[in-house]
Order: sequence, then C-alpha cells, then structure tokens
Amino acid sequence: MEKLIDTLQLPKDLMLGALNIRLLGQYEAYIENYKSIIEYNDKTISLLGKNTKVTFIGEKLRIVCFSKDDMRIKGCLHEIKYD
Amino acid sequence: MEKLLRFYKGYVRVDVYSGNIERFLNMVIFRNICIWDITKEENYTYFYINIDDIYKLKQIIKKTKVGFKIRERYGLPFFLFANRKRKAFFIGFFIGWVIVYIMSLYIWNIDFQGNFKHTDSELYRFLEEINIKEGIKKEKIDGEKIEKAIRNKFFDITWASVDISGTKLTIHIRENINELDKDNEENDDVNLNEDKPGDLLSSKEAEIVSIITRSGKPMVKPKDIVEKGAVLISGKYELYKDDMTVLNERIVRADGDVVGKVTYTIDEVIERDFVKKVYTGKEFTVNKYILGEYEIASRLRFIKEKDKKYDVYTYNEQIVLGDSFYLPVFNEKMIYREYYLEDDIYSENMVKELANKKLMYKIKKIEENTIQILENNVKIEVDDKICRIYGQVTVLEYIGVFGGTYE
Repeated sequence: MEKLIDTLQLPKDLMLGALNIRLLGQYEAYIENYKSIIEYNDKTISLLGKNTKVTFIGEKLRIVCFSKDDMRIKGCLHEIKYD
Repeated sequence: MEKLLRFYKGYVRVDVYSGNIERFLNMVIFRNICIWDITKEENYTYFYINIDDIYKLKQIIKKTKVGFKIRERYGLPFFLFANRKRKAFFIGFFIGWVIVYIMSLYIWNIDFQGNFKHTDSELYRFLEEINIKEGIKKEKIDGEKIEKAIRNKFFDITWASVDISGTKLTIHIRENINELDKDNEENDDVNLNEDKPGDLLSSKEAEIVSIITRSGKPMVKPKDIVEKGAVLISGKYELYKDDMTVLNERIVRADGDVVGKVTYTIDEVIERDFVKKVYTGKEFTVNKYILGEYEIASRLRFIKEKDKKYDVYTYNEQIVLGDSFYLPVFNEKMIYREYYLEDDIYSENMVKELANKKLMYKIKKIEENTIQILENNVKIEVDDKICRIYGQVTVLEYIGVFGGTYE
C-alpha cells in the first residue's frame, strides 16, 4: 500500500490517515488528523489516530485550541509515545 | 484580530467538574463547537467559549452529566450590561462620536505640495479669494473648479490636483520649471549687458601686477597704481595708417585678466565689558487651547513680576487625530524663562579668542575672490578696556570689472 502511494506520489497523510505532528521545540505541538481524545490531564494527553494511539507526556500540558481535525498543545513536553 | 472579535462578541470562562472530561471534549469536537485554552486543574477543568456557543453545550452537559459553572464573563456585551445604568456615560460617548463625525465633515487644514516659486501664503491667499479656507464644508469643495482656477490665475502652474484625506485638503502643484529658467536667463541678460561694447574698469585701488588683454586696448602696465573706477582696458581702439593717422575707430567689449596688488586695512575694536544674560532657572509654562475666538489657558493667573525680565518661547501647533484628522483647535505653549542682566568683563584669553574669530572671518571674506595672500601683518592688542585688531592684509586679486558701456 505504502509503495503504491509512493509511486503515485499521493499525499501520504491523507491516504494512510496518519497523524501529522509538528513540534516547536519542547513547548508546543500541533497535531493534525486525530480522531478523538482518550485521556486528558495536565501530565498526559492521549490522542487516537486512525490506526495508532499517541501519548504526550509532560508537565502543565493544556490544549490551546482544537477543531475537528487539528489541535494545538502547549506545555513542557517530555515524551511522545506510540502504541 | 481574533481577540478583538471575541471581545466584541463576548465570551465566558466555564468550569467543568467531572471524572470523564475526555468524553466531554470528544463530544465538543464532534459538534464543532469552538472552545480554547483548555486547562486541567486538580478536580476541575476550565476553558473559554463564545456566548453564542454556550447553548450548544447544554445537550452535551446533559449527556455526560458533568458539573458546570460559568465562572467569569468577558467582552463587550457583558460590559454594556454591567454599565446599563450609567446613562450619562453612554450619552457622553454618543455625543463624542457625533461631534467627531460633524467635525469630520469640514476641512481644517490646507497644505500645498510641489510649489517652488509660489509661496504657501500666496496660494493660500488666492484660495481665500475663491472662498476656499479652513472651516469649509467638504461637500462644497469642487476639485476640478479649484484646479481650473489655480491654472488660470498662475500661468506657470501647469498641473494642479486637489486631494482630500481626513480633514486635510492637499493641493499638489507642478510648476513649469523651464519657464522659470527662462525668466532667470532674461534677468541675467539685463544685468550683464552681454555682448555690449564697453570698458573694463578697476574695482579697487591697487597696484597692477600683470595684465592680459583678450580684446580691447590696455591702458595700464604693471607697477602702475590705479584708482577705483579707472579704465584698465578700453573698448575703443584705433586703426592707424602707415603715416600714423587714424584710419578708423573700432568699439569692442573689453575683456582680459588684470591682476592687482590690493591692500585691505583692518581696524576693529572690541570692548571688554559686556552685559551678560543670566537665567535664574525659573520657568513658567502656559498652555493655551484656542478654538476660534475662545481660548482656555492652563495658568490663567500667571504672575509676571514687574522688574523681572523673561525670554518667551512660543510653540503653536494644530491638534491632529491620527495622520490627517486636523481639528480646529490649536495648542499654544508659551514658556517664560526668567533672567537678569549682569555686567561682566571678557578675560584676556576670551577676548583674544573672540578677536581671532573675527579676524579669521574677515580674512575668509577677503580670500573669497583672491588669488594669493602676499602679506598679513594684523596684530591683536589687549589692554584693560578694549581689544584692538589692526593691520593690513595685502593680496593678489583680479580687479577687472566690466562697466561703462557705450551707448
């Protein structure tokens, strides 16, 4: 599947439904293509993607703004974990 | 911008108490409700939401069974509601706006751009003649009419454009510079009498050092001493026959370089005692606001003591809102600085410095049309009361000047 998308030069994030995460240093994360929130508190934020789960671990985490497709997280990030 | 919009619409801070905040947030996302700055404290979560969206939350709150409280209110709608009883405030605000609006219907400042030959006041006077002045209603201004009037009145203005921005009327002007040049050239011609025949005269009393004649007949030779106005090169010369009788007389414009040795005498006296201005450091500022005939001064009862002297500095400026909203109000600021006069005497060094400066200035002035300074024996002498600068400066300079035309 991945090979096919590569050969056809299609946008991967759309075709695979993969999470698109952009980090700004240690302080800010910008996430696209998520489905829902699994866990939310000031130390952990877990998000569900199409076929993965990603967890942000840190301190004083908060959601600055979000919409159906994207979300901005601020705080002091320590780890990013995929399950 | 976004913040401004939020302020305008109004927004609230909502506290939510629940174990299952994630479900609540997922439902908010699903329903496309805009909330921001979601922060989780120990046993509650708070976020901000627009007041329009708060009714959409009701269903979610029912479904998720979370505790819910509006903690704080921000924005214009709440501000207006809280101040609804302060009628005077709103009336004042409204009147303020009305006044600003009415003011903006008039012209309060006229500016000219691109004028070199015609001064601002000249153009301003002309505009007054055709009834365009400060305080006129904007709608009464007919740009094309003004442009035409200006072009008709001033022939050398080839292009004029009227532009109104805010309460300022700007008139852009293009002057015909070629015409200006032509005028100047004509003037020059009159002054110089170019091509007309005549003599070359001495501009100063001098001893001739050298003479080179380009046209005309030299009347002096080196080492001659000439008076001011003496003919150096004559424009008339005769052609002789072989038997030394005059064949005919010709008239030309005399031209040549005549270098003379000129002596300038300098004799100046500087008095050593003088009157000094001493500022006491006392200062009064009077702020005046002038609207037409009315004026308000910040210090109405300014006590000016009779036997004291003051320097007065006056600043006058028109009050502008932003870049171009000129109001018919002028701010006049007058600063009174108190001083008294004291007799003083220049010290020897000071007076010498002063004398040197004066001498340098004089020599510089002499040097302006000089070839070379031959001799300079000016002395500076200082005694108890005066300082005297005296002596002579001898220079080489061109002394020929055209004059004495033949009619």
